[in-house]
Amino acid sequence: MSEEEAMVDSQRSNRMLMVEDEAGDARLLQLAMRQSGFSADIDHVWDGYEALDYLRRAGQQRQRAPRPDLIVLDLKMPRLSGLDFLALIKQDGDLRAIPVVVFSSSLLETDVRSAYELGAAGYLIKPADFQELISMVRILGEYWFTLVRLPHND
Amino acid sequence: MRTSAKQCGLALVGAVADDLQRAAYRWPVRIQAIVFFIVAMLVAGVIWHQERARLSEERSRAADLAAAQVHAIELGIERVLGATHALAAMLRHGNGSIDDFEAAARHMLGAYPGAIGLQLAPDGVVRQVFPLRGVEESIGYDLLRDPVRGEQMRQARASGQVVVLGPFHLLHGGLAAAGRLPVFLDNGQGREVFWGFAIVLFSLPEVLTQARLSDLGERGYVYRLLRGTNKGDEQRIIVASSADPPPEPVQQPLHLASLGWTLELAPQAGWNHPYGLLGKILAGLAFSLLLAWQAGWQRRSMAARRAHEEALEQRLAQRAADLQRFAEVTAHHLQEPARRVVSYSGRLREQLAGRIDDREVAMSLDFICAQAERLRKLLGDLELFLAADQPLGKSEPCDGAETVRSVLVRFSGQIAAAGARVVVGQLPPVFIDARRLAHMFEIALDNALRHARGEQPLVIEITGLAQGQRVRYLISDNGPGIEEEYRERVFRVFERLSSGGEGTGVGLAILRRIAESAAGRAWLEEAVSGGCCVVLELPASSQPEALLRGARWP
Repeated sequence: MSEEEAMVDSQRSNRMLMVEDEAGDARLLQLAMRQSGFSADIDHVWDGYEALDYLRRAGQQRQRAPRPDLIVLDLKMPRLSGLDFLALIKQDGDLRAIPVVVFSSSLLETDVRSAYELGAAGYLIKPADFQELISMVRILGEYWFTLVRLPHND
Repeated sequence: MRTSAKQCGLALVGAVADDLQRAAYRWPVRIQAIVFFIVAMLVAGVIWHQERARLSEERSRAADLAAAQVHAIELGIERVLGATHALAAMLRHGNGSIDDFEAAARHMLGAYPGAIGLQLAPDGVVRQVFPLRGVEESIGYDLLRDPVRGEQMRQARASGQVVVLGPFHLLHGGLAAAGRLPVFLDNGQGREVFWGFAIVLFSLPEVLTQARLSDLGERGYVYRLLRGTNKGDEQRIIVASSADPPPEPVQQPLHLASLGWTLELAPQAGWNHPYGLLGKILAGLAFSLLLAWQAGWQRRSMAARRAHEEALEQRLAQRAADLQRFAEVTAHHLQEPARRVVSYSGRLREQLAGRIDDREVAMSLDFICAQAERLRKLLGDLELFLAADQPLGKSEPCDGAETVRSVLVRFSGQIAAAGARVVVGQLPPVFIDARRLAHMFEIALDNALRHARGEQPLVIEITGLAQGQRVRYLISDNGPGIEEEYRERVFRVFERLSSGGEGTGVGLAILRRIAESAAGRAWLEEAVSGGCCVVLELPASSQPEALLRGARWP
C-alpha cells in the first residue's frame, strides 16, 4: 500500500472491536488508546457470543454495527471463551479476514500456541505498567491501522 | 553380546515371574490347587520312601534276631548231644560195655539239662535203656532195620555223624527228640569198627526254653519252628507261638546234624503298621491342604492389600492434583486484580504528579504502588513455582555446556555490570528438558550475581562431575557464602535471608522443584573459596559422545 493510498484510506476512522469481560481492563485499554495518539472507534462487547452477534449484526441494536478493522480479544471470558470465539470466526468465510490480536494475562504456553494455531494475528500479554500498555497500544495501532489496514467490503 | 543375551534372559524370566504373579493375583483357587498337588506329591514320595526304609530295617532286625535264636537252639541241642559223646567215651573205655549203666545214666541225666533218657544200641539194636519205665517195649528194637528211619541210620553208620531225630510225642506227654551217635571201637588191630549207637532222648520244650525261645513273644514277635525246609516236604510244626502262621516271616534254618528245621519269625502286628501309615498319609494330606489354603489366603490378602494401596495412592494423587490445581487457579485469579491495581495506581500517580502538596499522601501513594507491584511479582513467582514441575518440552539428553553457553549470552549484561568473571568447566550431559535446565542455571547464576558480591571481584565457577548414573553440576561463587543453618531455608518458597532487594525469594525453591520433578536433587554447599555452591544432581544422559565436551567463558 502506497503512502498516498494510506492517507486516503485513513480519512475513514479506525474501528476496533474489544472483546473483554473485565471492565477495569476495558477502560485501561480505552485510556491507553486515547493517550497513544491514535483515534479509533472502540466498540466494547463482554464475551464471545456478544462479539459474534455484533459481527453478524444480529439483534435490533446491531443492525448498523460497522465491520471492525481489528478485534482485540481477551481469552478468559464467561460463556464463550476467547479461543472458542477465535475458532468460530476463523471458520466463518466472511469474518475470517478480520485480524484478531489476543490480549490476555495468560502466560501459559498452551494458550499462546492454541491462539496462534487457531489463526490469531498476534498475542499480547497484558502489562501491569500503564506506560507499557500505552506503548503497546501505540505499536498495535501503528501496525494494524496504518501499515496493514485492510480494504473494507461494507 | 553375552551381557545383552543375559539381560534378555533375565527380562524373560522376569516377565514369566510377572505373569505368574499376575495369574496368582487373579486366580487364587488355581494356585491353591497347584500348591496342594505339588505338596501332596512330595509328601507321598517322602512317606513311601520312609515306609520302604522302615520295612527293610525291620526285616533285617528280625533276621538278626532269628539267627541269634537259631544259634541258641543249636547250642542247646549240642550241649544235650554231649551225653552221647560221654556214653561213647565210656564205651570205648569199657571196651564196648558200661559197668552199671543204670547208675552212670542216672548221674548223666542230671549233668545234661534237657536229657530225659539214655540208651545203648549195640549193632543198632536197643539193649539198655534208662529210665526203663514206660519204654520197656523198645528193648530189642533194631534201628538199622526200621522201615522209616533205617536208611538214615545206615547212612549215619557210614558217615559217623550224629543224627537227631524228632520230634515225637512221648507216651506220658511232652515233645522229645533223640540224638543217636554211631560209636566206633578199636578192634585191637588199629581199626575202628562200628559198635552201635549211643542215644540220648531230650525234651524239646526244655531245650527250647533254655534257648529262651519264648522271649521272642515278649519282644513282640510270632514264630514257629518247623521240620522240613523245602516247600515240597511235609511241614511239621515243632513249636509255634500261635495257631496262625507268622505273616511273611523271615526264615532261618538250623544247620545242626542235618535236622532240616527252620525258625520262622514275624512281628506280631505284621510288617505294616496300617494305623501308622494311615496317620502319616492323613498328616501329609492335612499338611498339603494347610499349605494350599495358606497360599490362597496369602494371595487373596496380597491382592486385597495391593488393591487397597492402589486405591490409597489414587486418592493421594487425586488430592495432590486437586491441591496443585487449586493453587494454580488461586494464583492466577489473584494475579488479575493485582495487575489492575498496579496499572491504576501507576496511572493515578501520573495523573496526580506535581499536584500533591501533602508529603504523607505522596508517600502513601508510592507505598501503594510499590506494594501492588510486589504483590504482582509474588503471585507471578508463585505461578512459576507451581508450574516448575511440568517439563517444558521433551525430556532428552541435554548438553550442559551448550545450555550454560546460551544462558551466559543472555546474562552477559548483568555479568558485565557486576564485574564478574564466569569460569565454565566440563559439564557432562543430563536427562531433562533443555528449557528447564537453562532455567535452573539462570536461577543459580542470578542468585550468585545478586548475593555473592564481596570485597574481591566476583568469580563464578560452573563445573560438573559424573557419578555413575548421576551427574552433579556445581555453581559456586567466592562471595560471603551462606551459614550452614540457613542452607535449607533458602529453598523454601518466599524465604529470603536479606530484607529489601528485588528478589521475592522463590528462585531456589523453583530450582529445587524443577530438579526433584526431573528425578534429581538440589542443595547448597560451601564452596572451596568459602562462598556459596549450588549443587544440582540430575540423572546422567546415556550419550557418551557428549561426555568430553567442555567450555571456557572469559
